[in-house]
Amino acid sequence: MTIKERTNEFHACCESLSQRSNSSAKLLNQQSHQNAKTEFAKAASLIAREINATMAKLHSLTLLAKKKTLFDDRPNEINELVQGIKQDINKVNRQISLLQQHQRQTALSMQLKEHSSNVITSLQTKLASTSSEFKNILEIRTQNMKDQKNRRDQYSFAPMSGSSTPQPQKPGYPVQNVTPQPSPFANPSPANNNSGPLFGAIPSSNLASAPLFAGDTSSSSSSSLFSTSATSAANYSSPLYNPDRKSHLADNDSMQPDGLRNRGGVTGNGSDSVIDMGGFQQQQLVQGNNNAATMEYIESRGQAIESIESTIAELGQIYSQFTQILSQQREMVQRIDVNVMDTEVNVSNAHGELAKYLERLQGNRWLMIQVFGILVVFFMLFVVIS
Amino acid sequence: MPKVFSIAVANRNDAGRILAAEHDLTSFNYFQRGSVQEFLGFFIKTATERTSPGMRQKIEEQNMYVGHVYVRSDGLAGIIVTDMEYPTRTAFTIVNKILEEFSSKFPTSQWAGLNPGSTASTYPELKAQLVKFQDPHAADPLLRVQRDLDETKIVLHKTMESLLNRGEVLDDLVQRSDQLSSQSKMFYKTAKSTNSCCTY
Repeated sequence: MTIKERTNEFHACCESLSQRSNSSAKLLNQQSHQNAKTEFAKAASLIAREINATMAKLHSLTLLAKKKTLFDDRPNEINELVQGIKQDINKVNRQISLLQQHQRQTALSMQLKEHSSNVITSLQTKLASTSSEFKNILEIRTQNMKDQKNRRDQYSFAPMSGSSTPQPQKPGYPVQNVTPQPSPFANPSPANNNSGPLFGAIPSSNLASAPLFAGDTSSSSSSSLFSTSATSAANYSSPLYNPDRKSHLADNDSMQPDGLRNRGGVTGNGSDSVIDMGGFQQQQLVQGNNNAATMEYIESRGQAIESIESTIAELGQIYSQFTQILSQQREMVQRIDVNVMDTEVNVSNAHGELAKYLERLQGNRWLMIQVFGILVVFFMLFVVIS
Repeated sequence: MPKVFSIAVANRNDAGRILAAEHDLTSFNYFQRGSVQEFLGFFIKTATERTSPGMRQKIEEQNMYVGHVYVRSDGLAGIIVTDMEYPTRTAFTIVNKILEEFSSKFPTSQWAGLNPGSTASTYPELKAQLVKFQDPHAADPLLRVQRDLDETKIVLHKTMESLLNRGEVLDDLVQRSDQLSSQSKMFYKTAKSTNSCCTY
């Protein structure tokens, strides 16, 4: 028996069958149902594909962020990736919500509804896991940036000159990528000055990303993950770094108020390569160009946060004073209670005594009458006899 | 009363072309509005061109209004024109927020097709936000938190005062109850003594 290809016949049969029963409305209904279902499936698969693409981007971002070398840091790429991933996540979010609305509107059978809601739930969980990974990556990245800066501080030198033009940056650097040991360069002034603007840079990048995150207005849980993580990262960095930054800015007498750029402009102190590395590193860390307005903005944010912090501390103090005064007053209330109880007891006893007295008085009256009667009798006797 | 005159998004890579703009010119004379709008557009364009990417700038003009402009590293620029009273930090926060929304709503490919005239149809939320941001407290969460905290502090101070009053009242009550109890004790003693004498 030869193998005969009958696919075309099969197709023709199917078409004829469908055409025959095409006039019935029920089939139309089913078709529309199926159309809706296939539309749904198509949209869901699109979304799943996009989620996968986003996860791929996230992986590449992970690789970039996990690099521990001092110089291979590519902030532009990383930032672009971050932006791209954020946009994608937003878009996927919107699509999922659109799909959900669409699914609710079209009338489907119970099973189809259940199936579609399950699909949507799984898509949402995938998106949520993606965004939580994203958040972790961002945290790792900030941690890395801090470590890098620490390591650079260990080897960079403190003083700065008045020059405001940055030196041409060379990536060549004698420092190895080992655990840094406290070197003679790591004296208090770098801790004050160097760390200041660099820390200032980090909160600027975090703070800049924080409003970006906070501006995400989509309603799914992923956005709430974003805003909480980013704001927590920003808040965590700012109180640590602000005091340092302020002290540095007070000392620095550079032309521009941004001390960051001037770091790189130090000449002649120590080895040039050390200083260059400092400037290079700052350019990597600082996300925006430094000028008066940016510094003013950043400073005002820092100040606002500080004032909020102090207000909250004051409120805490007021509350503790409250509790103190209240506990004192509780004592007073107890004293009042005791006094009033005593009064009650006293008054009731006195009442009892008085009642006894009254009884005695009333009881005694009969005796009095008797005594008086006898006296009167004797008196009468004496008067009559005499 | 701090006021926002306009919010706009422009593309610095494209010679400062405005992508979306919303104005609130109700404070101006009806006949002045046209020219003011034109001037604002020009101002926005120039400000965007003069600012390099990644930089924020604050441009004050004739003591009447201030333009806050922030150009992001990818060329997208956000400008907000306010009067002199509007706090700078809030203005930049708004700019950041608007840029974020804009870039999430319109990917880079769509930028060429946008122009300020069609803002009302393509990006109507901008108008709603312009209205919302007239009050700086609504825009900046930091300001809002600060204001709430201040109000809470005022309430707490009042409560503290009333608590101290309560303390005084309680003190008074303690003394009076003390007096009462001693007087009742005297009363009891007197009653007892009246009862004590048995002889008539």
